[in-house]
Amino acid sequence: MIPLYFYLGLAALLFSIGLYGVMTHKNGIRMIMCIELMLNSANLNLVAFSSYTDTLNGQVFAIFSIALAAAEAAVGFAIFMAIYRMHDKINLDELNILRW
Amino acid sequence: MVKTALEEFAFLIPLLPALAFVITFFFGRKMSSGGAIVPILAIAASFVISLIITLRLLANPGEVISQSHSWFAVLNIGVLIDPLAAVMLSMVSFVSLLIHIYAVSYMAGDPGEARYFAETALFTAAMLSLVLSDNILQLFVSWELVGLCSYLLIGFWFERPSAAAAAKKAFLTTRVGDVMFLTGIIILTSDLLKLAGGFQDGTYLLRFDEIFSYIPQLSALHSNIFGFEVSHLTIITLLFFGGAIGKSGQFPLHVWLPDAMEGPTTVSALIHAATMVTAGVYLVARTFPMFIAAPDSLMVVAYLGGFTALFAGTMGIVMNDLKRVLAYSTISQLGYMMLGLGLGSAIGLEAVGISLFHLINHAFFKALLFLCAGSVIHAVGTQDMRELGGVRKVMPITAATMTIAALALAGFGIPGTSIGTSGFFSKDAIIEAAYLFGEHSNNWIPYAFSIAAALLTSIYIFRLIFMTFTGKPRSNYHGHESPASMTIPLSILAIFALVFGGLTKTGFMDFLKETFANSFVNLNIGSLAALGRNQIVEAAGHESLFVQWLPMIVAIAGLAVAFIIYYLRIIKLGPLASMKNPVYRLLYKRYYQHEIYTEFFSLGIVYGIIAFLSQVLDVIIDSIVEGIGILTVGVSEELRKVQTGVIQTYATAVILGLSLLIILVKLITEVL
Amino acid sequence: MRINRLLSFLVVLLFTAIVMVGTFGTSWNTVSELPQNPADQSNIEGIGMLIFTHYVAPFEVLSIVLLASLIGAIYLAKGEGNR
Repeated sequence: MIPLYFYLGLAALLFSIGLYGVMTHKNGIRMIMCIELMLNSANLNLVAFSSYTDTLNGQVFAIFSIALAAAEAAVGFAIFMAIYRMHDKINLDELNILRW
Repeated sequence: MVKTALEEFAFLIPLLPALAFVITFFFGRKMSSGGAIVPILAIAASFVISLIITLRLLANPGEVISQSHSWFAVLNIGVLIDPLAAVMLSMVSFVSLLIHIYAVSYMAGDPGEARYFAETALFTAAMLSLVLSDNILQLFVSWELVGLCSYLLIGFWFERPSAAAAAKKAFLTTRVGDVMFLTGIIILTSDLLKLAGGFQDGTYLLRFDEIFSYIPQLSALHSNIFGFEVSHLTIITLLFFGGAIGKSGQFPLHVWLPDAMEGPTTVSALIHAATMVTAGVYLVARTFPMFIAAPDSLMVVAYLGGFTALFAGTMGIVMNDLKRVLAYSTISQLGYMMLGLGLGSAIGLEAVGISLFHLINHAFFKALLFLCAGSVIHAVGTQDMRELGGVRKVMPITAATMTIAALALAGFGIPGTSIGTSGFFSKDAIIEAAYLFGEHSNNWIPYAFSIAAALLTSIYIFRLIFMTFTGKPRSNYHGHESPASMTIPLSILAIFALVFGGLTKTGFMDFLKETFANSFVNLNIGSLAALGRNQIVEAAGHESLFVQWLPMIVAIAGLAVAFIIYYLRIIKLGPLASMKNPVYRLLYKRYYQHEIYTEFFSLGIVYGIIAFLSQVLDVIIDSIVEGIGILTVGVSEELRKVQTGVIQTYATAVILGLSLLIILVKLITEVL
Repeated sequence: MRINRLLSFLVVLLFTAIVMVGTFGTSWNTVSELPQNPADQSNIEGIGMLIFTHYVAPFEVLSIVLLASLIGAIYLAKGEGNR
């Protein structure tokens, strides 16, 4: 079987892609999607570790993580809906009332 | 029993006037006549104690009073009353007492009367403390205190700008001398510490007996200054003499004395005739063993003293202000005293005797002269001699006492006998010593100085007498004789000026010889003199008749000159004594010293440098302070831009920082 | 205020490199054979056992969290007007 660090490398790659997305995109929805990507890479990590150490704790934890990610994404989208309703824009660059 | 009891009281001598100062300072205004009675009582008590001590010392001169107590750290405070100190104490307290009594009516009605008596009480306390201090540091402290009181008293009428300026000038000029004195003390202390290996317990290094015991070792220390090999003792003693120059008004630091006449006349009598200016002479006399063991120091003292005597005399003959003439006379007579001390290089310890003798006599007749001048000014209202004349008809007692004082100052007497005014005996002693010195070392300069100064002295003092008291009044003035409280001290001082010299001459000299050979400090002046390469000769005493009579001849010549010009008015000085005559102008403008010292040096050079530096410093400091401000604002402007408000930038920064941190930790754990 | 894409790319690259080096360099304590359970291929039974015995408290809390987020999201997204 393949060594463990392949899975870890894949998860790190996914995390980096999500990170790059968060750092560069201006659209709020895209940012939330990239955050989901990062969360999923963490789930991948958890499951890989649980599988390779013959315990089931990691997989239980991954289930919880998926549920929380869903809840968080829902709330995030709801917030963006409210912002869009108020300001008619969702571009993070232009939401700058609190900036100097 | 009386002996120990007296020793306990010795410290009261300066303490009582100090207490009087405190009382008069706080309560004087409420008491009558400015609370003058308190200082008078205190000084009278001090006088009585010092007189008793002096008489006891006369009986057995070997037992001096010396006490020393630890003060703080390594410093001691103490009392030393040997013959030198005893005569000074008696003189100071006596003259101060008389002047205080005189001042009761002189300063009556002045709004600052309480302040005056408080300050003179403090001054007397400081002067007495200076005289009986047993270590050089305490002497210095009292020296400074005396200078402070002089400043306060000269600027007594401080609302007058000339008085304030004169007080400042006095303080600053004596300060120059004080700095030299302090430098001398510092060098002395550092040398003593080197020789003694640090402060020892149980002995106080700066006490006079300790200092004198180290003189042979001190004279072996030499320093190399600009290629000259100078003995440390010479440096130290010359610096001490520098302090004496400032305080006693020798050339070149004499400029404050004539201006100090801005104060009340009683202040001039007390401070600038009898006591403060003699502190310099006292210092040199007190440290005489050091002076005689240092090569060339006494020569410098003699030359400077003689030159000052002549120099001041030349200026005294052209002054028109009553008190200015007396001021220059004081400078001149102090020059005589320094000359007398300086002649110790030839006559050894006797120099202390003759110089102190002249000091005491001078105190009497100069104080008398000043008090009489004050009496005239108080009654007539003007100080300018050109407006006086014929005052004798209005104030006979003052005229008589002032004439007696003038005779004493000029030194009238019959040589070879005991008949004469006191000034005659003391001045004659100095001139004889100068002659001996000249014979012995073929150096006639001190003698020439003293004779010339004697001639000028006679001229100016009799010019003063004739212009003031004789002839017709030159202006309209109204005068009356002074009240008894002023004439009684005048009469007492006149009696002393007449007879003190003749009565006490030999006793005084012998008394003072014991100063350095008693229970406190026992020195062989001869061996010390050998260290200083001074050769002491015994007074021959058999000069030719001409030499004996020369001072008297010179004095009579001066009297004759003044008589002809100012009494008989035969020779009209007219064009000779006007500003068109360059010599007269030189003398009248006091050799342009005011211009040189004040205008050129102080205002020109010192102020100029200060103004220039302050501008430069202004620019430098301004640029530094403003630069800091500008720097801070600039840096903050740039740093502010880190907070962009764009959240992705923050995320980038976080990840970047985290990565760098991991690398750093890895590096550190691997490298170390 | 502009986002610098190149800088972000480089930072992410650096981060990835560090993590990769870290994971590939560490010796993980792993089993030699991946466990296979023929009766329970997807491990659901095992997971279920764990959830309802060991991790029942987080499970309950998670349900409350989901409820709260549900209510919050609906309220936020609904807007004004028709409550």
